[in-house]
Amino acid sequence: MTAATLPASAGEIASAVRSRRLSACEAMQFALDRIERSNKLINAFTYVLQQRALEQAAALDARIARGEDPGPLAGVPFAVKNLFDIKGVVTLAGSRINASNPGATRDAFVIRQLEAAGAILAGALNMGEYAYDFTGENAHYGSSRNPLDITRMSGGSSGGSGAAVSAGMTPVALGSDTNGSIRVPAAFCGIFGLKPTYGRLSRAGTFPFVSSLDHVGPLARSTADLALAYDAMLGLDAEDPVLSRQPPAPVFPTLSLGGEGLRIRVASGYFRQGANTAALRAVDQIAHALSAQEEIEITNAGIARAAAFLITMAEGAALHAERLRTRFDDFDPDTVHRLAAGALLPANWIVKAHKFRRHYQKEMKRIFETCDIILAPATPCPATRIGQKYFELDGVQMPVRANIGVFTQPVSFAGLPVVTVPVKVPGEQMPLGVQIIAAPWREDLALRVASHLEACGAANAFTAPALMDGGPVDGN
Amino acid sequence: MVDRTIDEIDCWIDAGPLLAGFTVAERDRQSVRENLEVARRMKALLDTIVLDDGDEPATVFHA
Repeated sequence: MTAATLPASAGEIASAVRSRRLSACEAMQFALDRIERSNKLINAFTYVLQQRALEQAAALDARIARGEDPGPLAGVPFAVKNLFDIKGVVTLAGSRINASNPGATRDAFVIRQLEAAGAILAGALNMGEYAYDFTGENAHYGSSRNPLDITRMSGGSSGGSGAAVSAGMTPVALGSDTNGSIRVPAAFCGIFGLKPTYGRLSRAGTFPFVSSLDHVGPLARSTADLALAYDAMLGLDAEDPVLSRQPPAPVFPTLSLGGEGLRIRVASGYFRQGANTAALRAVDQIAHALSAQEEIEITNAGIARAAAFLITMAEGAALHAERLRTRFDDFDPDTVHRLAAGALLPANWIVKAHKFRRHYQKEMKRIFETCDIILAPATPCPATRIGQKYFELDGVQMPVRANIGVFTQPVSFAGLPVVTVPVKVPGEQMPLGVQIIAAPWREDLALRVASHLEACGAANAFTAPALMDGGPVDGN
Repeated sequence: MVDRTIDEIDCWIDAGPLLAGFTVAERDRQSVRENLEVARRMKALLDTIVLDDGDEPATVFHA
């Protein structure tokens, strides 16, 4: 194997590096070349760590030559949303304001975990300003573009993460998800995304948005790669106060168990309203592939979305209170107007939203006593055009920004683990995403079902057109 | 008839930022107003559920 035929899968790269059919240096050089060729068009990367990445690859090759175990992700290039701390690099969090900050003093916890498993960091990725975004658009650094159609948005706020993986720049990228920011770009870019249970992966060394709702997780072209990355990132870390003390529970060994015996339900009511035909057909196709016929209603999903919306506005505003006072005009207008409004919300609104959150969590726990998996659309429509402000639903023009997260917010509000799988709907050019939702701490079940869907061909990563680098990525 | 909603939101935008320590320029006013209107709709939706006085706020499953 040579770098010219580098596989798109992290698992295959690691296998090739471990068996010395491919060196880590070759794998990284391939990724760096691809980033250089594709990024002009896709605008996924804001910083490329060429020297550090090649030095680490050489060190990994030396370890392999000495007979040492290089880890399950040996030589796998990865990249991170630019709200993750990278030693020596300014943590932009998509903002112009942070650009004057000093570089981070060390890598984020999950970066250290991935590198301990043999993966190698290639760079930092574009994102919506301060993660308050579903589009992947950024007034300061430009929009990350959807590799499947560069006139369309990548989704956000982890837009660079979705675009980088979809374009084959790196097989794995990390994102953060407060209200849908991993699941939306995964859906729009035609790849897989995992938002773990709230408190499952450490967020230490990341720039926060809404701490009571923030999660971190991987995006990849397969469920196996999601599982490999997730397992590597598990670990106890005293620096994230909400991190669970539950011992790590690796999921990769369970993937092959599939969905057999699981009680799988289709979310009805709220989750069948406000979506276009293609989004609903995607859910129906996945339900059919899983022989899931029974529906289940999450009664208060709309209220959960409202509560998440209010907490996000207020907590985000509280985080940025000083910057609102001193740097108001340096924000992206789309961000600062929401933060300014959030700074004005009465405290009792937010306390009620948090009270409702406990109520809703109990409701979700009761629901998951009757089933194991719930299926729901990830977004109400496929990726819209960059800059597009409205999309049509049943003849009505709906605001894009306000509605992209309508199906993701009620799920992350309860902290539930979700895998978003990419679905091809006949007649629709762009992918649709379907959320595979499990009970708290049951990432394994969501990934098992996603893996089964991948194996039976119901959900597969989309392949970006050849225009970006002269050849499509390997794989599906 | 006075449009109380507009009046209230105007007062809100005039007074709130003073307390919070920032100002909303005229060019930003309409967009901030729209965001406050959305927030009010979300609050109205939240108010459709009645919670007990004794209910505790929550953030995590394993607290």
